Amino acid sequence: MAQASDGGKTVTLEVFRYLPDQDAQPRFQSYTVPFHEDWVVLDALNYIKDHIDGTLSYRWSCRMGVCGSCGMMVNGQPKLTCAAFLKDYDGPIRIEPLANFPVIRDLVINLDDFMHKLKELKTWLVPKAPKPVADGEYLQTPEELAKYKQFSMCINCMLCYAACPVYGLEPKFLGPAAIALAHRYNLDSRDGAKDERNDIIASSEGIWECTFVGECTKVCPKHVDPAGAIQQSKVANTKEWWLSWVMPQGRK
Amino acid sequence: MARSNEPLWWGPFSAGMMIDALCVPALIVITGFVLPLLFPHSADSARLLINHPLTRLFLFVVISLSLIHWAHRFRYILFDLGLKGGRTAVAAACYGAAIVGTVVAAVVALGVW
Amino acid sequence: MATETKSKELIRPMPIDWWLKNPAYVKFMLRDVTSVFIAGYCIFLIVLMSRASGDADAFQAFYAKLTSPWSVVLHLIVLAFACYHSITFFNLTPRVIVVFRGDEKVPEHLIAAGHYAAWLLVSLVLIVLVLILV
Repeated sequence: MAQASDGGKTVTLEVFRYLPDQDAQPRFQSYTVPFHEDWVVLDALNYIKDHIDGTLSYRWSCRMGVCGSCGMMVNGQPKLTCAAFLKDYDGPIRIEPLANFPVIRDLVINLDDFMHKLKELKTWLVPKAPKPVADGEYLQTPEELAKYKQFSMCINCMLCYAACPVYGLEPKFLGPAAIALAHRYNLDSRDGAKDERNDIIASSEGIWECTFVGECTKVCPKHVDPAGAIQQSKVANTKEWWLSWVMPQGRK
Repeated sequence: MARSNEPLWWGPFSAGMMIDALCVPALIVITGFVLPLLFPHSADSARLLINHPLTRLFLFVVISLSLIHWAHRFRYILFDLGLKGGRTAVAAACYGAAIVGTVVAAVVALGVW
Repeated sequence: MATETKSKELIRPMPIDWWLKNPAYVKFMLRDVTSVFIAGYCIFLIVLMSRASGDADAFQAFYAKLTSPWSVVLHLIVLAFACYHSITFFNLTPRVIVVFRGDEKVPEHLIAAGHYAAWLLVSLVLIVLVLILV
């Protein structure tokens, strides 16, 4: 049953449509949905799917900004649609799939590239030495936790990849989130795979591609600051590179 | 994957960014306004100051690091503007130009040219 | 087991004028272009040193050109770009320089403020030195 809107107002959504078996080119389809003060773009998309056009495809899950599933371009800006309030927009709202990714269908993008990069960078805890459960927990001080905590907040929503022109121009670039996550584990006192990760992030397709545009940090909904992670990695790897000439033993 | 040798340039590049940010605006104010507007008839004492070894050393450091700052940023501007291939050639041209500029600056700073 | 079929995925290439589409990207390009103007000023500094090494009368003539409107206008333009570099650079320093006091980060504005203070100090020292020595 369609919900009545606030004050009879409506909102128009111009939604990117692409059906690979039918369309040679993408197109935009306009939908008019009731306006509610507390509705986000995701609510509007769900209304479209439930009441107007069941063929529209898009991803979403938690609808509260922790799962990272509902990232899309809203009026040209990468946003979590569960965090983009209808009342903050004037006029028709343009919804497109996340930029810089191949489109599978409608608003659904192919994120295999990102998944592959996470695996390549071993974005998980690699113990320094085998530690059986019987040996007890890892101990970590608040100071040690503080070093990497900010970078651990990443929800893999990929808004940063959509905002990054370097990734748009060169898909081989590892990208903001993957490097920020590698940095998170490099800074974790329990981890032992820093050298392996640095071999990849300090390659020509890693941190050195980044020109510090900084849009990734601006669009990040969890304040991870991937741009900061990348610059900090640049400083760390530059120090290591120059020092390795003074102390050749560690040189790769 | 092999680690890049980019730090060879990134080190001096970031030093250049810092030195440029700290010193260049004041230098511009000096050569553009302080000297011509406050000391229009002091060409001789200005010349003595510019010829002092410490001035020359300072200017040489600023110039050589600024040229590497330029070379590194310009290289990436070209990629951003759509340049796809020829990355090694572009790097060689940009850093090469910076090195040539540094050599010229050294020769001039030493008073040879 | 289901077989995987891949439908035609849509690739959306970036337009050549991508950086004009977003004010943040324009500001980024502007920031990078400051390096060109600073390099240009460095060429001027090389010429200045070269003239100073040479004939005193020739330097006098060169020095006189600094008072010309052209010189003032060019210096103003390059000064604007140089200041834009300084400001954008110092504002970004907290992203790069992270200092912890125990488990608390030193506030970001302090990192930037420290750099601005250094900028003021260095600029004053350079200008005062010239005022005294010329």
